[in-house]
Amino acid sequence: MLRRADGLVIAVLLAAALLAWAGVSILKTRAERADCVRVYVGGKPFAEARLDEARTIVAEQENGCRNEIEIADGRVRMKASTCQNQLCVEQGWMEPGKVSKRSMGAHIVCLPNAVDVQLFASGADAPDA
Amino acid sequence: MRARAAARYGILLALILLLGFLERQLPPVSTVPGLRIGLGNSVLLLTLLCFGAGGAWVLAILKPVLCGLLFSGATGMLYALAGSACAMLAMMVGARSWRLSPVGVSVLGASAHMAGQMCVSRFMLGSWAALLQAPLLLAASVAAGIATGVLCRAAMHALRGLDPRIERTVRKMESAKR
Repeated sequence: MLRRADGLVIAVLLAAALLAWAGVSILKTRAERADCVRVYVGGKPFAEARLDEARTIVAEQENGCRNEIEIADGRVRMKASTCQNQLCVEQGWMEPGKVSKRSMGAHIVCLPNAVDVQLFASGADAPDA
Repeated sequence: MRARAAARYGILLALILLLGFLERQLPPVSTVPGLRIGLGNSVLLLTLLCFGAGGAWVLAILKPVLCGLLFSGATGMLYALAGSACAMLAMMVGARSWRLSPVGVSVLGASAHMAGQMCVSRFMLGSWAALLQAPLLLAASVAAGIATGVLCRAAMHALRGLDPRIERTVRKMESAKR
């Protein structure tokens, strides 16, 4: 039933998945040196903060979406969100040292509200965005 | 003739919507939200192979629009439309010759669907954070594509008596064996 061309397509895609996995693992390891947080709202940079300064960043958008990002003890989390699935809040605290264990690495993402909280190292060229 | 086409596409669209609804009743496949098998794609592919790209595009656009208006809202509609359009383009290319069986075309469609939604997420979020899920999503696309491709092929065989065009397509599919 399966033709040779089918097998080729499947093999190529699985190989790509493997390569992607390797790439993602490397990215996550690099992110462990992060010391700052950058928040993107609606695709644009919204705020930056250092992990050693405790504060709460509130992002309110015109469409009514609201997210609260809390920084404390060198960690960051999505404290509250108006989104329906609350997956961003459920991800809990994110800290640089434990980034490799997280499925989303150095990001906390609220997809419905288009908010992305990234860790990055201030001394490096660019965040992994 | 018009009435017949309207009835046919009405049934096909209802099938796609029903399959979409049914698979949402199953427990989520993984922690990634919105990761679904996409069973409706098997009907879309059947339409493409047996009735041509025109009809398939109508279904490919209508389904996300209807679901967006009825259920998921504007953002959901945007993601679904992008995924659907990319899947259609990939499947049209894949179905050109008969080198690929419906399974291969379906795998291409599933991967393109995922890639399209990744690009939308880049546009919405401002970063490629979604790429972190790429390894899992690529593997899932392959698995889902195989499943829906097998389903499409089975449906084509089961329905070959229903419409001469399905019969013709099944014959073309069988004779192109390599």
